[in-house]
Amino acid sequence: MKAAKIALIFMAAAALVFAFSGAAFAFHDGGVAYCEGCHTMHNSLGGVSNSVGGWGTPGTDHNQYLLKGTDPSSTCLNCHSHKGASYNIMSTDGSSYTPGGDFYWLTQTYTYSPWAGNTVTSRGQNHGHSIVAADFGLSTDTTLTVQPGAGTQGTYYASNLACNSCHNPHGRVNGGTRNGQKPVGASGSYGTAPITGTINGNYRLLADTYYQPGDPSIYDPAPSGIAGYPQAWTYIANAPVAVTAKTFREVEGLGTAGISHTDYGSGIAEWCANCHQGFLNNDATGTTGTHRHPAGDSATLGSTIAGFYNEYVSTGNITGASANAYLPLVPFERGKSATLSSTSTAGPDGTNAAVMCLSCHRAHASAFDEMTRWDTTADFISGSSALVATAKPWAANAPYYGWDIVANMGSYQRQLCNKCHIQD
Amino acid sequence: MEDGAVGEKAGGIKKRFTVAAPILFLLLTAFYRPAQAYGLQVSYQYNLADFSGTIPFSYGAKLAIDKDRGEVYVTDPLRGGVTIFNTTGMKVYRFGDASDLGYIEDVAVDKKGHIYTLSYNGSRDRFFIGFCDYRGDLLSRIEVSGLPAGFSHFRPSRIFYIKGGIIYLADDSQMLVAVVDHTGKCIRTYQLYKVLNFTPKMVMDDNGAFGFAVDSDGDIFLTIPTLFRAYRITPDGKAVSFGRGGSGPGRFGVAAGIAVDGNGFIYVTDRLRCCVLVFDKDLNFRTEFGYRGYGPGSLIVPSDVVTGPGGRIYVSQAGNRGVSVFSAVY
Repeated sequence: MKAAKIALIFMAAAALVFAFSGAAFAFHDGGVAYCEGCHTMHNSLGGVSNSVGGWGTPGTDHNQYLLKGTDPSSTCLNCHSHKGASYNIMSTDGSSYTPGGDFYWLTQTYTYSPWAGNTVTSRGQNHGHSIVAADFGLSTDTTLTVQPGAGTQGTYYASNLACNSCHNPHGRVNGGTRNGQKPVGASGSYGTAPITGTINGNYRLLADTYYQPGDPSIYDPAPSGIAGYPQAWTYIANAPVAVTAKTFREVEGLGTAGISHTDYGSGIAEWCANCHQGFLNNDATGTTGTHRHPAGDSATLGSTIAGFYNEYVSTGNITGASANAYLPLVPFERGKSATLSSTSTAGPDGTNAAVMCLSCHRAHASAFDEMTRWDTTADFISGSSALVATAKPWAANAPYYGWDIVANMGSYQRQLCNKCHIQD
Repeated sequence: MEDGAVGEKAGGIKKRFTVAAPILFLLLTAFYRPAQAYGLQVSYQYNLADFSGTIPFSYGAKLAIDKDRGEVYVTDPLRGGVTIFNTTGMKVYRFGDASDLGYIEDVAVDKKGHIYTLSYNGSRDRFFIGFCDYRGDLLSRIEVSGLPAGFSHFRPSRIFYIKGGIIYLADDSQMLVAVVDHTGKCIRTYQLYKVLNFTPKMVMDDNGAFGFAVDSDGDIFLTIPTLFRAYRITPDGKAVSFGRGGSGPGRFGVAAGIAVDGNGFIYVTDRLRCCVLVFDKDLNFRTEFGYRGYGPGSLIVPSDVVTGPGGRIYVSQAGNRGVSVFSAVY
């Protein structure tokens, strides 16, 4: 009888294990995922077309590349638009505090009064990279119809801007198998060593050299029917180096959890320059007369700026120390040879650390104009546009990733440019 | 053959039949299932509309049903407000733009037609239940009290009203449920990740729920997209899962909204496969409908789903496609 009971308990436990086991499904695993996750092979399911519309003739044509979304970005957002989970990059209330930002802000056009009698409109499409995702109501930027700062790179049309403009959905590294690379064995986002005989994927599946958004060279060598399609447009810089926390809900938040963040190593600005070549300035001394804020691996902070960063806590408080100086709202690159850690609280050194595009901007979208990390139009950032908007349907303190600016930095906190420049 | 023998044999048969018939009847009764229970037919009816056509709600629109009056409520957190439609799918009313109701995340309706809003204050750092009349005018503000430790960061996004004045509040991303009475007093909580044998880290590692529903008996239904599964949890905390990943019929691509009808059929929307999967009360897959497209009855990224009287099934979706209404015939 006792043996029977034990057997019963064992079987029940085993049943529970089988019933509820299973970790989160890492769909991409650092590289190309399984094909039918995004594509419909025969465009047929249940006796009807599974995929219609898209870049061809809406309503009559299949989606280009047999995607399971109306367009590439809609296909991605099938899985990545919700709130809560860290893999969501488009919430319904601005609460996706991912390092890149929340595409939710593209949907939010709001008004605010910076001073009495003056009403300003902050337009949604000015809050981020206006990716086109028809299924989710994201449309082409009507102001910036091509990328700003193209420089020596070709024109990239806003109508083609999509998730796969920056992320290589197939996860190839440096040309992938076709270019003789080893298999991608794991994600390249978390700082883990590659499995023997394999390489890690790129950080966040970001594209690198040889990548052509949409890969027209492979699938559609003569896309003559698609106006402005960037046939010859190719990446010239490899994906940047960075490591991030697996759980973004902790990233850039308050309190002890706030130590978890994305630690940037190198190559961010150079990578952004795949599109925005004209904004890249590796001459930090400004001798070339480009009159642009330095950004790039060679735009090192130097001992003076790094010292400012480490001392600066908030307006009126420069008692900080380098060991705890890291401020997720103003990140920096630690340098090519630096050891990266998503839990490091250390500020920059004066030799290797550099300023990058993401020191001031979010890659996806932010609550503010020009997708900046803080409102660059407010004297005191407690009065930031998205904080004093006429209506605020977004989650509490979402514009600053859950940070209560008044409680944590004071009502008279000035622009966060001061983290490096201390002009307040 | 003698008549007596025939009569005796006939009597024996009659006697055996007298005994067997009730047993046969009982057996038939016990195992009989009406054919229509497994013969579910679903057909597209119309989209929720006003006199200018389909109303294009955002991809985050949530649905609630007033089963007693057959009305459906659509809450659109992105665009604000609550829109009410009658049984024919025509817009009859809208409320929720007044500031006293804060930002409405979701609504529920009781038998008398009172509306309960799940609202957040102006800075969206605190929630409350708005107890409203049938016009959405705030009658009283119900503050939730008595939440236990572990619920300090409770941020519900769904509200359900079930019989007996019981209100369920669900935080899908943290997989927490608080059951409160009409005064807001917490009478029961569920840490669903514990029920499902998840560690908090597993929830943090993106195994939070997407769809959420509560039936009239207090059974909780939820979906977890990353696990390709849906779950039914009884009030006593027993959980059973169903579904599996894949792109064929009956498989989950991205399981999203979930609802159950009066016949026990469970409806699960699939954002990736753009269809609605139907399971019977024994959790067996029965049929699916919708599929991606722009024609009548097709769906673009279906999200929330509710069932109403008359076999109606309401499905919200993305692509500015509004809410599609289907009819189930058993």
